[in-house]
Formats: sequence, C-alpha cells, structure tokens
Amino acid sequence: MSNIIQFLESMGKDAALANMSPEEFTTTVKALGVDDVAEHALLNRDHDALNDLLGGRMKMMMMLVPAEDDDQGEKKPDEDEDEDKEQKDSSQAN
Amino acid sequence: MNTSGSLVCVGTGMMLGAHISPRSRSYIEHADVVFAAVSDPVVELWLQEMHRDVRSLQPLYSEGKSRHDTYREMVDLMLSELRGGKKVCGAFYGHPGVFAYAPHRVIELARAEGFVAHMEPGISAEDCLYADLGIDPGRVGCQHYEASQFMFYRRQIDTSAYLVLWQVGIAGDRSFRRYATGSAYRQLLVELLTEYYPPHHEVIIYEAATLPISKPRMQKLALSALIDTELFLQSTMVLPPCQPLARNDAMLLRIEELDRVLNSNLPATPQHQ
Repeated sequence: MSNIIQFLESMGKDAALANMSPEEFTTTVKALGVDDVAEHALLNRDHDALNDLLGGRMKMMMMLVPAEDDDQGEKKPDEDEDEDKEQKDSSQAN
Repeated sequence: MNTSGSLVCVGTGMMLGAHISPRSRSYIEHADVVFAAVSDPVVELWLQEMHRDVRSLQPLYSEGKSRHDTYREMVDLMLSELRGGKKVCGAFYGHPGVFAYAPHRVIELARAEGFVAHMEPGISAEDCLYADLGIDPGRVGCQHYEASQFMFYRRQIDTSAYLVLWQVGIAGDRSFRRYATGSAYRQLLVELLTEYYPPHHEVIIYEAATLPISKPRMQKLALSALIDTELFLQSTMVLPPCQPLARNDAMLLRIEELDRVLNSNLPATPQHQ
C-alpha cells in the first residue's frame, strides 16, 4: 500500500500531478498497478475507502486547543450533578 | 540533570505531501522518536513512512475524557523521552503553534529544564482558508476566536472586519469531553452572533483539504441556517464583514495637523541655479 501513499505524496508535491486533467488522472492511477479496490478508491477520490484500505484509524481527533485553560473554569460532569442537586434542594426548600 | 536531549515541534501543514517544509521533514527523519498529532489518518500513515518510531498521540483522546488531561499527557510523553536524552520531534498538523496547546507548553517546560527546544512553523488551516476563500486578512482586518471561548467571554466584535470561529462543531462545550455539540448549542451561538449580524448574513463553513485528491469544503449559507448544518470537528465558520469600514475623522484630523507642523519645520530645500 506504500505506493498509494507515495502517489498521494507525489500529487501533493508536484504541481503538474496536482493539476492533472480527469483523463490524465485516470491514466496515471491505472499505471500505478494497484489492485482493483485501491484503483477504484483513487479514481473516485474516496478518502474513506482509501483509509480503510490502508488501515488508517477510523476516527481522528484534531482539536489541539481548549477553549479555556484548565484553571479558567472547566466544568466537570460531577459539578453539573452537584449544581442540579443544589437546585433541586433549593426548589424543594421553597 | 542530563540535558543532552533536544525537542522540536514541527508543522506538517494541512495537505499530505504539499505543505511540509524541507526543514520540518528533516527534523522528523532525524529524530530519535516522533510524536504525531495530525488530523487525517492517511497523513498519519504517511508520517509513519518517514520514521520507524512514530508514536501517535491519538490514543490519548477519548470521548468523556477531559481534553485538558489529554494535552497534559501529550506534554508528559514528550518530556519523558527528552529527559531520557532523546532527540524528540512533535509533529503537529498545520502550524504547531496555532490553536495548539501542547507544543507551546512542552517547549516552555523543556526550556525551563535546560533543554534546547524550539518550534518550526507550518502551513495552517488559517493559511489554507485565506488561499481557498480568497480572503486577505490585511484588507479590512480579521478576528479569530475559538468558538466556545467566543461564547464564554464578552468580546468586542468589529463587524467591518472578518470574523473566523474555530472548532465551531463543538461550540459551547464546557466539559471539554465531547466530540460534538448539537443544534441547541448552535442556536445559542447564532443568537449571540445576531446581536451583531443580520440572520440572513451569508457565512462560510470551511474545511481544508488534507489529501491532494480532495477538495476543501467551502459552503455558503445564511447565519441562521448554521443551527441545522452538519458540522465536524474540523469545521470553521467565516463571517464576512456586514458593515463598511468607518473612518476615524478625529484621528485623521490629528494626523493632518501633525503632518502640517512637521512639514512647516522642515529646512528649506536648496534652490538649484
């Protein structure tokens, strides 16, 4: 499968490959000599199918920054529960 | 303490093969160990072909676990190898210092312990956004906020400049444990934004392409339609200006006055015969 990744890298790097016409793209993919499933995934520009084929992760997390620093007011689920309980207690008291 | 180890956090850019700088690639290839936090599983596989010891940071995430803990663990993992005398490379998608906590933090801590540590920039989603959407942030200005933070804190919005909200797919998540928030949270965001923008104001949902066979998402819709639009972790919302730039006449007058004073104090230009 390495040649699929190498092909993608070449497409990323090379302006001529990046701007291939649909016909040129088909010809280039067919010349890669990959199996039918891989060829089909590439020709359909099917990201998910390619990933399945290459054995990549099913799910990626891409968030790298929190909305707040952790001392800025992170609210944990048990705090929600505590608040709910306090509200319940106070409504019961009324 | 042995400070023979070194640390570099590099950006891989957004698109496989297209954006990584020669220097960042060299740091990856020559590191003792590479820690990877990228946004696309195929990109992760590509990185694994560059180095025999690429350790994904993805397993540190899990739904229901605070991302604060995840980010702390990322930092600890990198520091641990650094303290062991290794050449450590953190490879982060986009730019390692833009909307990314762990790279800044690990460099700060590594330097405090006496290690050589630095950051190599990368092509960020923001850079791709400008290219794909044809926006020049210098034309009328551009404000960037993390979408949840934008909701949690009072901000002064300039509606004559662009407004870009990142991580809009989890807007309003106070737990830092979720992978998505729903339409009820987006309703609140839309209510907040309609204090500044008309509901029919055209906004853009943007997602950068990560493979060269893919296209970026550039979906135009009315602000009010955000509530029912499908959003993902990588979705960003762009709000173009809804007002023209307003001239600051008082400041312009002061500048004119200053120009007049400075020009009147200039020595006379010698007259040529």
